[in-house]
Amino acid sequence: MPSIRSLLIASTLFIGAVFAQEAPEQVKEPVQEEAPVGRDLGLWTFSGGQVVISAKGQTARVTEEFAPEKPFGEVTLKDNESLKLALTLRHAEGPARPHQAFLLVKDITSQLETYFPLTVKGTSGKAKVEVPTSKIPPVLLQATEPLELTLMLGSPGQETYPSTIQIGTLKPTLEKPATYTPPVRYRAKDEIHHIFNADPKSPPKILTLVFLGAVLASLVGLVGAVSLPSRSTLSLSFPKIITDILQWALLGANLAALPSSLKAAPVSNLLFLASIAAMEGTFAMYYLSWNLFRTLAVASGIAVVAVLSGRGALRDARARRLAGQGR
Amino acid sequence: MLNSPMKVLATLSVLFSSLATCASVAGQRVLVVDEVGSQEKYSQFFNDLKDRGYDLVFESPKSTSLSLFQRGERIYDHAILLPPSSKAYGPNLTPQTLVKFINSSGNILLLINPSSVPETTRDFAREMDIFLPPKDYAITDHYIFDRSSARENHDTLIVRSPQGSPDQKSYFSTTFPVIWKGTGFTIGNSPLVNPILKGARGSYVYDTKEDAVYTDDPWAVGAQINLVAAVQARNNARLTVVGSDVVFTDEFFDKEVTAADGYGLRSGNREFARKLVSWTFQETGVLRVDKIEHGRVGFSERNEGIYRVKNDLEYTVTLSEHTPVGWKPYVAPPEDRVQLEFTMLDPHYRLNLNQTEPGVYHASFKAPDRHGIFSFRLNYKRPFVSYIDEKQTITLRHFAHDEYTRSWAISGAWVWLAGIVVTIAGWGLFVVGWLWCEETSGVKKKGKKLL
Repeated sequence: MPSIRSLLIASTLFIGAVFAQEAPEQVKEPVQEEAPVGRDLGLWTFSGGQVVISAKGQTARVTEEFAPEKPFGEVTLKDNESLKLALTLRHAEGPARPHQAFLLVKDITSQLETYFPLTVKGTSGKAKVEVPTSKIPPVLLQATEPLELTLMLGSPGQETYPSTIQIGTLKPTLEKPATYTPPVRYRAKDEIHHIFNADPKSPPKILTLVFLGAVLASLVGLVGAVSLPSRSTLSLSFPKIITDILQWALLGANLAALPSSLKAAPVSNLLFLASIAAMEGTFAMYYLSWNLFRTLAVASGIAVVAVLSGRGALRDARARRLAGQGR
Repeated sequence: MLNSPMKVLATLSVLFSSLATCASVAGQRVLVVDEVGSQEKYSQFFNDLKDRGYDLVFESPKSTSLSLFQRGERIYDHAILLPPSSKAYGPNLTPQTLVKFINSSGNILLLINPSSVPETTRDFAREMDIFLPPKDYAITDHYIFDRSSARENHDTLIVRSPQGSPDQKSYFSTTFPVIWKGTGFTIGNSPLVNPILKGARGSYVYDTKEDAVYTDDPWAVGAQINLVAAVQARNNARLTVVGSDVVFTDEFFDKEVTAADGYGLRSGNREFARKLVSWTFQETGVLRVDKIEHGRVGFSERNEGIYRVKNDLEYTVTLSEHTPVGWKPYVAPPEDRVQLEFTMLDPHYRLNLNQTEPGVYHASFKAPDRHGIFSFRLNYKRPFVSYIDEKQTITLRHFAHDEYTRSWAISGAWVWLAGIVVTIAGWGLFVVGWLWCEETSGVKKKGKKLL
């Protein structure tokens, strides 16, 4: 068709020239007229619309009429069923065949849309389309909102005015929900935070304090109320068990031999006691801050003193026992 | 990475081979595979390239001297493939050669002529997860066609310039719409392939020969149509496929069109072409890691090789982005997040980094209570920006024996501590008693029993 083409080019050049002149005034903010999202009725339209939902070889479960101004309400689609549309496409006055006649099926939430071209019989405008459940992509089948059905009709030529007509909604009700794994995309992923093991827990403080009290009381019990007035008063005022607990004081523990032993062997007695106290102090320092090597060094030094002074002190004690002092 | 001798050599050779500064980080050598007469047809397009410092070498597909490699080394940094007039590009530009070119970090801009797509080109595109339509498939739209030049056959479309999304960088937006005439193709689900320019809702790609009267079987419809799409390979080499060979011609650069409401619009094609080439030839969308620092919160030492479990750690990374005028701090899109993973086999943490100042991203966290070899991993892969995958390996040690909580701070241990104290005190008193106690007559019997 060289003639048409050259004509087109000529018209392009002509209009181009016109706009080249007028461009500064006419250029405006770029606004696009894309196919509208909702309903837009141009010159293309249809009549005698019928929607049928049926399983193969069975009678129709749903049959509804629809028109451009009167979309059908929500219809449901089960497994093994098909949505069938039959209608007559028209342009301006009479039935006609457009170049583009698609049924668009859209999930409103994700804005994903797929298409099914209508089959049109010659120029009679009689068109139909069959959409089995299996042909609808899983990503649309698993949509939570009903799917939006739209007819898009258009053709080339001057002032043909395409149409975008919403004809109804479709709700797939499958026995087994469609499974769809979205494809991998490079984007930010969900955050991950490490879950720490729980910190070790201590028993309730009150319980600890009760037993702490009991342990400390045992020391008091061991030593005995040294300051208590006398044994006779005690035995009168306390039951037997308590007097038994307060062992040492009641047994008559005393420091009566201290003056005589200090007189007999003062150095070894005091050193022995001091070395025992120092040994305990060494272990306390080990617990608090010292390391093992320092502890061993200090402890072995103290041990020498303890052995030497202990010999003197214990010999003194033995001598006193053998002498039966204070009996 | 920056210290690699190859990179230094490449930089030096670029510096000495020509004094002209080039806008691209990948180099300035461009091979243009074209036919006779294309230099006049695309004169503005090529001039724009020359202005930005590219050295263009024009070769016919049939030329025997045409080669992308010499002694196994790439001799061009970029290639522009205009459609050949014959059925194929010839033996020097097989799909295998093109793939090898991309694998060795070369960038390709591929233009398609809808009425003669070489089978080899289709094979090459398929390998990249791009599905070109068969011969003679063209795009049309009865809503957005140009009212002045395509009033009858609706084959020239006014396509909204790509706007990008809040979680993606877009380098392709233009003031004026793109005037399109050609075809559209579909792309696969690979994350490496991304659409740049898409069809409108009413657009469809149909067979202009078979389906001239009625479209039985369109190749693609609506937003499934890609007019321009790009592949960024894992080595950051870029391939851009343009579904038309006329949109970058002088004719389309200067075109004036009429929208549906009768208003005239200028063509945004020149700006679009410039931005598309900038991106494809790695002037834009190229990221660089300037500095990575990790350390303990409250300590000044950085990048120590060893930390302890439950240490409070912090991580800072500085990112830059290449623009045609040089390196600038990289500011991620508002709904995108630069993320840090702290991994030992699996990520124990994946944290969104906060941008403390432009291009500086920071996060702090408590090291997990698992010891082992961990790494700070910055795995930033997004459409249209070059991929970053940086890993710093460190040791996470467990508590030393003197780093645990002391027993006096644990209330449950108080009873046992008191037991030790009481035993020591009792022992001390016993020693005193043993040394200096004298038996008294009153308790003699009982004492004998006991001692």
